[in-house]
Amino acid sequence: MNRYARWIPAVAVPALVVAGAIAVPAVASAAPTLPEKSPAQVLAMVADAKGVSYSGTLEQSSNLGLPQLPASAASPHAAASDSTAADLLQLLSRTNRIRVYVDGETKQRVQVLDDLAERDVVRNGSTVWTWDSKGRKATKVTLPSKGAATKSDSTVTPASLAAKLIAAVQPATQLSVSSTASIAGRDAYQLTMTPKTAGTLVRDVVLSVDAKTGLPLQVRVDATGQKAAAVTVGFTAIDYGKPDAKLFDFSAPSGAKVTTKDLSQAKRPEGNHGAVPQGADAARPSTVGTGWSTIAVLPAASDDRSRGLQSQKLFGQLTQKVAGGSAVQTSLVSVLFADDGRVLVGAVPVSALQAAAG
Amino acid sequence: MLLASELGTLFRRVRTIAMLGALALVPILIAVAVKVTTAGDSGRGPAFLDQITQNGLFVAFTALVVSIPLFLPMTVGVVAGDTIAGEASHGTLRYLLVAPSGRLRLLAVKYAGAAAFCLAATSVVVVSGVIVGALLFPVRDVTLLSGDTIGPGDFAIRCVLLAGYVVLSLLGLSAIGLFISTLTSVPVGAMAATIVLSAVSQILDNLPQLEAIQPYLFSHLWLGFGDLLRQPISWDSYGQNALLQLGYVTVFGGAAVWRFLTKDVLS
Repeated sequence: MNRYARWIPAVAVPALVVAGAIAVPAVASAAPTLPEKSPAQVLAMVADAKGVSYSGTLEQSSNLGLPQLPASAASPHAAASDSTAADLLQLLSRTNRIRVYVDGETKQRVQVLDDLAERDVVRNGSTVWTWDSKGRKATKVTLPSKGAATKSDSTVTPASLAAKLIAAVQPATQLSVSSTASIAGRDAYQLTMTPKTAGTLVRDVVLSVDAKTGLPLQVRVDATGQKAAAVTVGFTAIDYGKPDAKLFDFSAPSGAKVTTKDLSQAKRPEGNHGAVPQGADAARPSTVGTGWSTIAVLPAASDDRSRGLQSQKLFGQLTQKVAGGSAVQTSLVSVLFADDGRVLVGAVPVSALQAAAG
Repeated sequence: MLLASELGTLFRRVRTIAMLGALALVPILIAVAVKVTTAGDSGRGPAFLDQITQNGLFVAFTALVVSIPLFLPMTVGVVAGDTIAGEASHGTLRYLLVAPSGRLRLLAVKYAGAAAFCLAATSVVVVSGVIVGALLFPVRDVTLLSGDTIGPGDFAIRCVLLAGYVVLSLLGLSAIGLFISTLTSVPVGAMAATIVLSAVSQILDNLPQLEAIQPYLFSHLWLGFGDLLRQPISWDSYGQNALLQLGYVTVFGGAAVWRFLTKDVLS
C-alpha cells in the first residue's frame, strides 16, 4: 500500500468527529413556525407568566471588549480591596453557569456554578439565605411581609401592564416580533427592541419568550459595530416540573460564618423626602439626554472614596487617559471618570460623555 | 484469557506496584501535613484543604484535586506509553503476533489494560484518602458546594461517581498514549511524549487567548468533577466529558489501529 494512503483513516476519522460536533447542534436549532403575535401580545404573555414552577440551567456570557486581565488580578487571592472589583470583572468577562429552581412566587433558589465553588441564594417564603462556598459565608435575611403593597398589584391585568410598558418605551424604541426561535428546546417568540436614536451603543435588545408558558427564556443585547452579542443570558435547559421541595429548605452548614439581617420590621419610606439630609441630596445623580442615549452623572463624592478607587491597581489596567479624565470604553457602556471627580455613565461613546461633562 | 494474562503481567510488575504505592502516599502526605501544621484557616492551597481538619472525608477529595494535574497523567502516561512499544523493545511483540490472536485483539487488550490501570490508580487515591482521613480526623456530615449537608453514606456514593469521573477523564489520554506507543519501539519516548502532551494540553487550557479551542482539549474538563458536589448533582460536565473523551478514544484509537495493522513488526 502507498505510504501516505494508510494515513487516510487517521485524517478521515477526526474530520468525521469534528463534522459531527458542528453539525449536530446546527440541526437541533431549526426555527419553528408559530402563530403570529404582536409585541403587545408577547409582553402580555410575559406579564401573565406568574407562579410558574420550573428548574433550569442558564448560561450568561459577555463580549464587552474589556481588556484581557492577567489571571492573577481576577484570582481570589488578590488584595482584599481589589476582590470585589475582580469578582465583578469575572462576572463580566467570562461565561457563567447558573442554575435556577422556582416553585411559584415564594420559593426560589439560584446557584452560580463556579469552578469547585458555588454561590447560592435561596428564598423560602419570607426567609432568604445567601451562601458563598469560597469563604463559607452565609447570610440569613428575613423579608418584610408584603401586606398592602400587593393589593394594588392585583388590579393590574397582564394586558394593561403590557400596554403601559409599550406606551412608555414606544417614543424611543422600535418594537417588533421577529423570527421565532428555539431556545433550550422550547419554541419561542423573539421580541426585538431597536433604539430609534443612532446616539447609543446599543444596536438592539432581543427578548425570547416561551411560546407556551410566556416565560422569558433569553435576553440578548447587541452592540453597534460588533457581530457577537455583547451580553447574553439564557436558558440552555429548562424543565417545567415542580422542583424538589428539599432544595428550598436551606440552613447554614456547621462551621459557616453566619450573619443575620431582619427586615421584617423595616418600614418603607412614606414620601418624606423632606427628611433626607442635604448632603445626600447633593450627591444624587442627575441625567443628561433621554431614552437610550441617557447619560447618568454622578457628582463628585465628598469623601475620598473615588480617590481610593482610582489608586487601585485594577483601575489603572482598565481605564485609559482621555481629555478631561480617564475612561473605560466597552462595546456597550462607557464610563468617564472626570478630573473634577464626577463620574459619567451611559450606553454611548466616550465622546458623548466628554461632551456632556463639558 | 489474553486479557487476564495482560492484567496479571501489568499488576505484578514492580513498576506498576511502585506507582500505585506512590499514589497512595499522596493523600497520606496531605493528611499528615495538615495534621502537624495547626494553621488551617488560610485561603491558600488547593480548594478544600482548609476543610480537612473539620472533616476527614475531604482528604480523598483533596487528594484527587492534587493528583489530577500531574500524578495521575504521569502514571497513566507510563502505562499507556509502554503498551506496544514496551513489547517491541523487549522483542516480544512478534511472538505475541505469532499466536493466532490477531493484532486488533492485542491492541484492544492493551488498551483495556491501560484503562484498568486508570481505574486502579484512581481507586487507590480515593480509598487511601478515605482511610487516612477517617483515622486522623473526625468524620462528619459533609457540606456540599451548595451549602447543603449530606451523610457519610451519600458521600460514599458521590465518591464512587467521582472516581468514575476521573477514570473517564483519563481514557482519552490512555488512547493518545496507545497511539504514540504504536509509533515507536522506544517505550521511554512514548511515555515522555504522552506525559508532555498532557502538560501541554493543560497549559493551553490556561491561556485566555486560546479560548476558542479550549473546549476540545482532552484535559479541559478534568477538574469538572466539582459538579458532583452540588445539590442536586449537575450531570452536564459528566456528559460533556464522556462525549469529549469518546471523541479522543475514537480518533486516537482509530489511528492506533490503523498504524498497528499496517506496521511492519520487526522486533
